[in-house]
Amino acid sequence: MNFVSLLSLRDKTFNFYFANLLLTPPMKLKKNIATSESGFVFNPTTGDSFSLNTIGAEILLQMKDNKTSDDIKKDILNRYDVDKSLLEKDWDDFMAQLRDNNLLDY
Amino acid sequence: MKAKKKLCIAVTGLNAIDSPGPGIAVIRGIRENKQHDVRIIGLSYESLEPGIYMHDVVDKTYQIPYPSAGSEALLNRLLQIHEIEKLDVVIPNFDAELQNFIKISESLKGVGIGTFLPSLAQLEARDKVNLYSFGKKHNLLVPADRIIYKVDDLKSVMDQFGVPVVVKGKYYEAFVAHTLEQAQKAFYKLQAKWGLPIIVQQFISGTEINIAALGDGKGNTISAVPMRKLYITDKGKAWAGITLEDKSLIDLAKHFISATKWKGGFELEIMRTADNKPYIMEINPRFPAWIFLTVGAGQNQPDALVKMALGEDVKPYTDYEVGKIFIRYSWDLITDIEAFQKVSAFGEL
Repeated sequence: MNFVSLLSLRDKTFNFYFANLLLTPPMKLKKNIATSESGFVFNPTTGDSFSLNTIGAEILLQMKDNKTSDDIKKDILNRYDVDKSLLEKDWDDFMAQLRDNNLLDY
Repeated sequence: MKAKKKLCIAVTGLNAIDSPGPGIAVIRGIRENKQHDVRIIGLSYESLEPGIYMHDVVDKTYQIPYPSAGSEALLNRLLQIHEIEKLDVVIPNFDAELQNFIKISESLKGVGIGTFLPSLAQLEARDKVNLYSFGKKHNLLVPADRIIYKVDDLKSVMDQFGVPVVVKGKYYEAFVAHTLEQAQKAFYKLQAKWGLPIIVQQFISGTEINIAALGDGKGNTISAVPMRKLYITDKGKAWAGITLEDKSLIDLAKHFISATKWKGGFELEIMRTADNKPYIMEINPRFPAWIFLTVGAGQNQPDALVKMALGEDVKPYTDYEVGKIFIRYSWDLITDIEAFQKVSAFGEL
């Protein structure tokens, strides 16, 4: 089975800013992707399944709730001690992995 | 309370081994219908087919002649069995036996035994040997292939297709060959086991997906369930698989059924490429060994086939559960020498 750990964002406590975030194009998760709070992701079209770490699972659940990338990033910056530039880098990596694994809707 | 309908159904393919026949899975599907009081008659070729000894699955087994004995020998044996058991339906599950069963289906009908099988022409059209032209005719994606009778022809085919190529037996088995030597070895192995011709097919890389489906013979799809192999054995068989949600795969099965008016169960073996093209690698003219997954997912194809063989109208299934998984397992069944002796000496158990 194709279990892939998708995210490397590090959990930290918040002590950083969340202003001046750049607007990013919407990243839509495919409608039929099944996600669970435990971080298990299933693509019913391809049969692929993945497991995410806690923050990866949080991001996907928020994407599934149709929250924008900017809102999700703001939320992460609010709740975790993470440098904005590092978040942007990890975010781009994560989105690239979601895209490569056929989980995004464009 | 409505009395259960008594049925006596004969099933082949009891070889639940590492490369299993579909018989046991078909029987499990049939037994899921609690409206029926079913007696299952196993039809076996060899004394060590596990289903013969699985008495909670198969009530009684009779050996039948090998396909090479011809359709008349098969008919005579089935009529003998019918005298004793009063069969309602027969479900053959091996590619190699289908031709004989189709030939005698009218005679079976004459004595009250139902079948639900494709015609000889349908069987022939999707044969591996004719698959490429079949695909062209019906606008289906099929890898290029060459039918060869001599080992010397391998070189020119490999020059044409590049490497690797898939070397396939007439009925079963396939080997991926990366060199001419590997292809020659595969050729001789397949020739010894299944005879000629040998099919050499262009290699397509991608994700292996299978679709189990059932056509009503009038162009309607009664059921179609796609499955992705999650675990593949060294013989290329699915040891675990998961049902998929993909309209394009269902549409492919529907297209096949409407184009051919296929009657009965079948399996499409698909290779989905990275750019999402579904190549049909093979069309198996009977249920696959993983058919019980369709039952688990909510479309009981074996039961629907039994009903149609009995002349009942069956409404097409519309939904199935996506993400349903099967995981095959092996299990050591313990029996006594007396049982083996009975099957070997008397041809029944």
